[in-house]
Amino acid sequence: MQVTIKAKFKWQWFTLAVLLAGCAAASCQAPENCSPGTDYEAEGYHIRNARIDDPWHFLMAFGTSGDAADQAVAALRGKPYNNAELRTLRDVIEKQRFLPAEINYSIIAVDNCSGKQLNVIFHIFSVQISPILSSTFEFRQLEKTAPQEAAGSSENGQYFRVVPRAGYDQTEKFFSGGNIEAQWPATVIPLDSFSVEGYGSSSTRLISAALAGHYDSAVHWLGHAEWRLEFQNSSLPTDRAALKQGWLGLQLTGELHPVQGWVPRFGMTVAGGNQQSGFTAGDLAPHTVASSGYGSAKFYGGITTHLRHQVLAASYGIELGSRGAMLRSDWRKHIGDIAHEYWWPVGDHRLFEIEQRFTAGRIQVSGAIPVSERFFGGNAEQQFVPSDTWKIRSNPVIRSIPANRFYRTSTGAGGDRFVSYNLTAAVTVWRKPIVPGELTSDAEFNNKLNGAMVSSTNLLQVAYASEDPNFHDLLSLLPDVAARLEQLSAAVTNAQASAPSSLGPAFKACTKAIASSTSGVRHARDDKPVQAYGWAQELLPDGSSSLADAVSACGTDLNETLNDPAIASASSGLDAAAQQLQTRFGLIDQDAASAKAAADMSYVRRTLDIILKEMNIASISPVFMFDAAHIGPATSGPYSGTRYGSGGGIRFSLVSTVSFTAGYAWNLNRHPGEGAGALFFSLSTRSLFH
Amino acid sequence: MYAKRLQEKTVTKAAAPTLKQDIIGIHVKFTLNTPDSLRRVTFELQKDTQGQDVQWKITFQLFERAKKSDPFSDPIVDLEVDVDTKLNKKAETMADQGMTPRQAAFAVGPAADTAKEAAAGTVSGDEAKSTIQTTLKK
Repeated sequence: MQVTIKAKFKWQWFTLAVLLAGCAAASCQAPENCSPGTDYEAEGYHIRNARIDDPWHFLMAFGTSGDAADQAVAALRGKPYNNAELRTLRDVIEKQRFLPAEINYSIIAVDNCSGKQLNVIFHIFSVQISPILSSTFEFRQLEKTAPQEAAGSSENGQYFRVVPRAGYDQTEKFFSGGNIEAQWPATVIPLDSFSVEGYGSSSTRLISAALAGHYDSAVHWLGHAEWRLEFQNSSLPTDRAALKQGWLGLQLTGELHPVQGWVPRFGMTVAGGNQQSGFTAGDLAPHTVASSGYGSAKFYGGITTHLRHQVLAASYGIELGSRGAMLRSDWRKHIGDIAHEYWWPVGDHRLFEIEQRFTAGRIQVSGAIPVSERFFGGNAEQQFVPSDTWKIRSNPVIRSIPANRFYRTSTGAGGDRFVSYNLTAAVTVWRKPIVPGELTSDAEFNNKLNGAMVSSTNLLQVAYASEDPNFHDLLSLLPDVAARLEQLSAAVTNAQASAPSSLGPAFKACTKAIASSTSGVRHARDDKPVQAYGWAQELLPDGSSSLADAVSACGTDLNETLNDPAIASASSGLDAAAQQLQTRFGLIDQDAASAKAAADMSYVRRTLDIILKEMNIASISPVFMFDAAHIGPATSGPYSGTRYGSGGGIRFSLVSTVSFTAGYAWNLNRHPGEGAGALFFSLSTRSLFH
Repeated sequence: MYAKRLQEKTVTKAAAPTLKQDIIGIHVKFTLNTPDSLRRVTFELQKDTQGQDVQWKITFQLFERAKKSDPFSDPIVDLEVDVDTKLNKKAETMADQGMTPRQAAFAVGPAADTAKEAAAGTVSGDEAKSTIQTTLKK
């Protein structure tokens, strides 16, 4: 052991000697901190190396032409340090890299000033977050799979995307397909996106097309709303027969502003079409038909919250369905779905995550129901309504049984009740953070980012304060204030004609103060409330258009010598009106406005914190899973409807390009005709031309 | 074994010392959209350091549109103000601590309106620049 250590010791000295010799030949110097306050240009420094630190640079991996910013920065190497050139280059980089976001931040820094050479680093950061959507369970999924979208840093308003998709399932076999999505700014017609999705395999097929629009408001009671017209045609296999359907549906959903962290949401969908299957009459439960036209109305509501280390969503939905075009309520389907995720940092950008989902469903049949409407479970999830922003699971999910193969009941194919619970635990074992530690630990960066957040919060506070009833009462006082300013102005003009010239400066100060206040009152009266608020504030005693200044300059300073009764009267009237204005402004509930603004921005702050401290460009996590599911009606024997599954796998995600999960789950209490377990594998590639 | 670990640690440290960065330029840009979405103000603070000299610059842009469905086109006001060095400390404070509610109200109201009037020629450019700098003093 000793010999080995000694040998290694000698070897390291040898390596050091070689390095030193190399350094001497190449004028290598020990790294040295730069002294703040140094004029690097005047002292003749040269640029050894230059680079850009941009957490969102991976967005440019596909679909963009050459990055002029990188090329321009590379060209700096070896050049003399020049302040003007660096500033010009910063403009080029910001033009290329700043995103259409609310907060953009860049810094130019230098380091390693040894041997009259230095490195130049350009740090860039952009972020924009919706306070409403960032409070939802589904937003957490976005944070993990597409953080650039969670951060609002993907191109907003207009895009065209092609998103390939592939996967494997024992029932569906290898499937492939993808989405084409286009978004544009809404115009007269309130529709702003179109998507087509299609995938298929030797046993399955799905085609859908949707036209959608949305609405967002920071201050109205309805924070977010979406509408969607969708057509879908699909054929999903089971182990006996395919379930086919084609339908056209109109969907409306709305989300309110968070109430103490909880976002209430609601929606309805009306759809009609037909559902067909290859099941024979002998396979079916009573009051069940293999194929039929149908119409349905779905109503659903729920709440969701996104806390710092957990997200929760609870939803309930009811479907009233009928065969044929008439809404007779042949069946009622109830779905309850609770999803919970908890994650805890176990290291720098490493998380221990637990995902749980509890779902239950019940169908009450008063007429007859198509078999496709009954519950079919397995390792594929079905949604109660199609939506990216609100997902309500509507079937029993058990990952140890292939998709749509958990459906046998004591009465026939397809359950009329189910309960399922799924648990997934994962821990990050390898990761590459999105935002480099250099930036997140930089005090200057944190200060400036905090400053930008405070500014946004305070602007929101102003907006809420401008909606206060007392502010609207204040606005109603302004015509009277304007009239009193006019009276004072007229009295001053009349008095000036016969006044001694020695009072010229006093008249000038008085008319200037009147003009400033008049301009302030005019703007406050004519502008929209949020702009008027700033003007109204300036009419108060310490404002730049202060009414008190006009009273003081005219009624006190000027009239002290002049003693004009008309000026005294008008000034006194203006003073009274100014005090009324001040009293009314003081009644505005600033605490309430501040609390609303802080509540809105708390979600933004939390999401920003997640982006900075938890989000990764790429990560690998081993996954453990446990599922329990029951489908009914069930009896003992082959139709006892409870199954347990357990297994493990690996999750690899490369943000915005590839997400890959593979694993195997064992069917712990397999029944006749069921396999020992199921392999699951999914691969999706994202945003190729974004 | 311990000696080996110690040696490896020392070699690693010598190879990659932690270098402190000297920040010579900062640019913060906040975009403030009014809740009715009809007006957008971008307020930029830029700090450039050359030796002992520090220069702050404010860039102020105002965008307006008649309807929410219209896109914001070119800014109707685009002003660049070199901050009086006497206000450097206030500019630094605003960049670090953010705008106060009063400053935010002034920026989207009086500062924006005055800048717009300067663009229309009803007030002078100097007055508009002075008003925008007043935001720092609020």
